[in-house]
Amino acid sequence: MEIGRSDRPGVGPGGDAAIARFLIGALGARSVSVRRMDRLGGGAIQENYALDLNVSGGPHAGAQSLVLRTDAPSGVAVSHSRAQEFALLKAAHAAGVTVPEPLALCADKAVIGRPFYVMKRVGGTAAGHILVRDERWKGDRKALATRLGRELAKIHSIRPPRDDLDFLPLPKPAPALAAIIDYRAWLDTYRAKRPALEWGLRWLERRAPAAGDLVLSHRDFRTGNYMVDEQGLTGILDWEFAGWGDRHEDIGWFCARCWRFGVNEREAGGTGERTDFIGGYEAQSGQRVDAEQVRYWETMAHARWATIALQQGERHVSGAEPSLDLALTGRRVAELEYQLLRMTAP
Amino acid sequence: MTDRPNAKEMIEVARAALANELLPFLPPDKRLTGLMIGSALAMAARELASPPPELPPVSSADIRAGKHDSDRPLYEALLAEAKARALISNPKDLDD
Repeated sequence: MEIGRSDRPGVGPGGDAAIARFLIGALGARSVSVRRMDRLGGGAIQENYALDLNVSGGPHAGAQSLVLRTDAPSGVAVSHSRAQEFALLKAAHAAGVTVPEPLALCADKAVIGRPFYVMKRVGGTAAGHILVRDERWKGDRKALATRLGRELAKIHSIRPPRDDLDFLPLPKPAPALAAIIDYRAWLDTYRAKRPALEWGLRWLERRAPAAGDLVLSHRDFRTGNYMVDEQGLTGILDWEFAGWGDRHEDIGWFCARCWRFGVNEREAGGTGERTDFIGGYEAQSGQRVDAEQVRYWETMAHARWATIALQQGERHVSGAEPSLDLALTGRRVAELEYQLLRMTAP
Repeated sequence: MTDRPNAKEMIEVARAALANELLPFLPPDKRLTGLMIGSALAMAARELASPPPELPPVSSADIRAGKHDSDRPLYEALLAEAKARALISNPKDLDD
């Protein structure tokens, strides 16, 4: 399937020309030429390519810097399809969330061999270890945390039912219990006992909140998944896990100790203060955030991340995908289980 | 009998060579890989130096059924065991 350099997607018989032909129709252009298409880093499940175009005619005329996102050849079926992710991105964009503007979806596998979509490319960096330490952001941390709180509130303004998002299941019987059922089901397939994780899940089960109002939960809203340049936020990324859920889940995931990149005193993602983040959320949403519920979901965040770390480690251990990165992620489960236990004393 | 240098000593000297002789010369796009290799080696050396304790014998089904909800001794044993593993995999900032 691969044509040309090995880091190119399996572009169909027409190569760049096939992509250009598709974009002429999708962007309403007179002509489109591909100036550059290079693989971008990150994403074990999806592949992203920087796509630079010259567009003539139509609403997008001129030089365009885009991202083409498609499935990795060995993509695992745990996250949304590209078509679903495109629908989520469109819904978020329409709700005023700062996201890379989604432009066109191509479900036709004849074009590059896999479904893909294109969106505008945003600048800056998403790297957590840079964002928590780089002094360039020091003066703007308050603004960034407040802004991120507002952005999350805009995401949560998207509520079911939505015809465009009807592929998202409703969590049964309630978001927290649904998560616990899910993680236990996976643990039942795991080759060893995980009593620390079991302990944490039992603690979470006994305190699980009842079903409340459902919102669109991003489910991976954390440092590492938003882009920042020297002026501030440029985009919220990685919508592949979004679903209907509890508003406190995203807040807890964002603030959880395990997502502070070692800067534990800055409780909002290692980049800002919790009060600024929550303040931005409350100001935008007009709703008070329940601090106890957030703590609950921070605890859940450790159980979830521990489960994901085990799963990623297994991709290496099973021999399916030997990888130093996956191997190291697998060993993060110890610190996650330890912190989970610290939060769940009897 | 194991010849010297033993496994732990071999890993430690390999890690020192990586840190002192290779890392400074790696191109920027390979630096992260170099650091990850260093982490993996350090972890392996720590595990060889102090293997983690055995897990407390407890059934997952019993935990799920609530039979240990107030079991303070089990909790303390799980906490100590998890801490020992975390001290191997990532000893930084465990208790702050």
